Amino acid sequence: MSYKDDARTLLIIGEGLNAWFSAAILSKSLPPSMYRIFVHSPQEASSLDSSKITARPHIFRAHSILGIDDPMLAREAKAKPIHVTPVNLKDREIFLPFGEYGIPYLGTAFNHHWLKANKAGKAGPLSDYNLALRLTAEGGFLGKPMEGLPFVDYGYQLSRLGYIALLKNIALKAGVAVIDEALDEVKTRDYVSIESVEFGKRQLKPDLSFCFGSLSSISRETLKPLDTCLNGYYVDTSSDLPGLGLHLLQNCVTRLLAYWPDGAFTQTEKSELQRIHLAEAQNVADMHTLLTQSPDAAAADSTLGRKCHVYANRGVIPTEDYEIFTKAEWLAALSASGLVPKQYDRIVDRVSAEHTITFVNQILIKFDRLLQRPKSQRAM
Amino acid sequence: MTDTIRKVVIVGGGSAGWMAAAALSKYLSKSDASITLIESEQIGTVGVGEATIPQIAKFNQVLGIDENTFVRETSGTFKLGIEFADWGGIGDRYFHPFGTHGFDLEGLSFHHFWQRQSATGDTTSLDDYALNARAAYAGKFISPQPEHGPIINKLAYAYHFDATRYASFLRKFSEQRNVERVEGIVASVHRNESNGFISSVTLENGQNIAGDLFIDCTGFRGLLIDKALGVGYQDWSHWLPCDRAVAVGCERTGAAEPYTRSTARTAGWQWRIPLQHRTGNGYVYCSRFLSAEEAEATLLSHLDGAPISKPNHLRFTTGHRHKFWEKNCIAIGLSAGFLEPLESTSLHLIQSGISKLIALFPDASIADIERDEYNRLMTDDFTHIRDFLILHYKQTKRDDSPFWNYVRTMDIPASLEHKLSLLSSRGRFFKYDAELFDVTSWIAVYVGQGGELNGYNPIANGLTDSNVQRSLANMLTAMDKAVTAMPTHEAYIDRFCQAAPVKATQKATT
Repeated sequence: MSYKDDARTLLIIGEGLNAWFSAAILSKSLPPSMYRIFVHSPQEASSLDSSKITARPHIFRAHSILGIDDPMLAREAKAKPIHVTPVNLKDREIFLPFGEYGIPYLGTAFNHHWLKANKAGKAGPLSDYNLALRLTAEGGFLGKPMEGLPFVDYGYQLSRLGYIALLKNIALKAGVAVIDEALDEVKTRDYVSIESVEFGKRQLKPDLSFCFGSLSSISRETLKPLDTCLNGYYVDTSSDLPGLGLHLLQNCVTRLLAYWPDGAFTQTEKSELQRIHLAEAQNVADMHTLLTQSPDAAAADSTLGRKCHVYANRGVIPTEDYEIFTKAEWLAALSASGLVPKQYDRIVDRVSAEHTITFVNQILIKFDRLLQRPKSQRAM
Repeated sequence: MTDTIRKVVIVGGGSAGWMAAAALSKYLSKSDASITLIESEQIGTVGVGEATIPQIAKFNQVLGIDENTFVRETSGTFKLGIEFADWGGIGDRYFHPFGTHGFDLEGLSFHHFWQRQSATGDTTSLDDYALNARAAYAGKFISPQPEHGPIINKLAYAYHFDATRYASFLRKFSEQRNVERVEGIVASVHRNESNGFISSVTLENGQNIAGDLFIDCTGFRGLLIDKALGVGYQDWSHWLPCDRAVAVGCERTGAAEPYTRSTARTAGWQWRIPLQHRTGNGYVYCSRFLSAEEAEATLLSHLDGAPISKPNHLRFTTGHRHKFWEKNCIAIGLSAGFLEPLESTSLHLIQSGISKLIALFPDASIADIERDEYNRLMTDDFTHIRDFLILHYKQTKRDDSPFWNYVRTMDIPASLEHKLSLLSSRGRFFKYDAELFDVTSWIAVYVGQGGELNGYNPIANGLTDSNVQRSLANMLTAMDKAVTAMPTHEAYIDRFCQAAPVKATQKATT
């Protein structure tokens, strides 16, 4: 790799997935001759377990930048496609589906029609009307849209080690360099900008420094300059919900590209990056609260409380700025928490109860037909 | 369900009243709820909102209204954006297009590459890269269809139309769907003593009309939401100080342009909206700096053709009700609030209120959560648009009058301050969930009025100079070809949606 004389130096600090995902994206997105990228990943490979990680459908955008396709992912990261995010709770497992419930009708979401049919005692459980959930329950997979059926997206279960190795390989091929020595100190110029980073006897003078995710092996105090200096940025993208840490990380890195600085961030840019990240993190935290706490506790939260109340009253799911989840995912979570809307959208009453019941049941018939087909005859 | 809303009473006609009646008549068509609209021919309508934004098409689509029929019936024309003259400085001109500027490259918004290219001394303006602006200035228009290809399909559009005819059109639509129209003036409003809900209104002729849900479309008066329920008003006139308007129609001269023109004047701005049968004009001004007589004289001296009506003077206070929905009353239209029609958002705010009401349509008990959610969403709508409007006044070099000196130097909301500091820092922009105007709009106005982007995203340097030059040149060529292939706006109207001829002296509205 040949660099321009005024090429800038970037330092990425993070554990395993966080470091290599961000390094891969930045190395493939930034003009190659203009940036030298160094990665310090203190708990890489050897300390990682062989667990699986979840990637939501959102990951496709990142993979298109990285040139990763399904066969490559299957080969290198033992990818298994999934139609849901499985969330294991103490007493149960909840699935957040990557596809809509039923099919909208009369310009109204399906769950309103289902509610009307259900009030008449003529509908099955709501989850039966979600093709992503049905496919998951029956071990099926639908890889392409099929006419007349709701679109079902997919993500992956990935081998953590395999995926990290794939990302690392992409980043290294794009010219990223590794710093193996332990990080000792981040030196600043009057706490305004990061001047150098000491790795044992090695010193790096980065123009920009980033740290993604939570770190266990480096003290928060050591990394503090990344928060305070305008040529550094530290954001904790970790989440207890499967796939959400990676989702938040992807958003942070791609947003960083939209805010890419010429030298250093302005204070406004840095606070805007942080503001949007916090809004997204709050959205994820809301989902976590809804899934893990009682409906009453969930309703006490301001943004989540509004979601719960409006849904419970009208079956409508309000969205917030920088919403992470789809309405289908919220619907699954709200339903799993026991909330049932008092009333459906009255537009549903433009057709008779019999008509609604027929419409709702036809969805089931369509799904059943598909699921009865041998797997080889489904669109893959 | 035993507690459903059985009777909806809409007080006031005009655009807001009849848009609400039409939408609700469609929405409640198979239920047992009835809709009554009370209006009086003695009370004139303000009829603002002759110009619209592209979202109006969605409203018509939901109602099942055919576009060509709609344009024909309302003597409408098509609108590709707004030309702003003399806003950044006297003699300046720029175009706020619907649609986008250019095409994004390398995952980055187009304006970063435009800014990079400008830094080399290239003076091609942002407007040159807007298909809408090019078509508008060429007097061209076509309603894009898939077979027209990817360039023409980037053409986004809205309409100009005669708001009075629009109300008539929707009245016919609503009455065909069993909306009952009652002629009369409301004399008194009665409230339930136990819960404070409005129970009925009594007309001057003594007729009492009861209802479960009342929609206040009484305009600035806010007869129900304010006079009866006293919700109060959030006054934003310190940021948007224009508080008067004078409007007049004039004869058309030449072909109707497919865009609105907004020209800054010494104490406000003048609109010009071409319709098929006339041109709508108005001067929005600040009474602290200009008298009504001066405003009228200025307006009349800047018409394309002879006036066809007596100038109509209006007063308003920019802002919104503290609550848009209180008890069992929802304010829609001017009774909800007023933002000057600088970006043609009046009808959009009506449409937005109606769609939110439908999404949160209550039962007779009306839960707090529905009201609160409605009020939160509408407040967001108003606030985001407010900030965008203030941008037009704040971002100026004009110092030729006390009015411009005031708006140029005034304090602005923190939310706008934040947005401007991001824009000025290499054109950064992130859109909020409920925000109406996107990066194209903000960049068009900010740059159009002389705002500095102070650089661009350095990632734009990833392409070589020749790559950027070639890409931008290709865009211009592609747009030229697309505009050449379009029919003239006039020819398109003549072919698909020409209105029946009308007498030029027909009473005009603003």
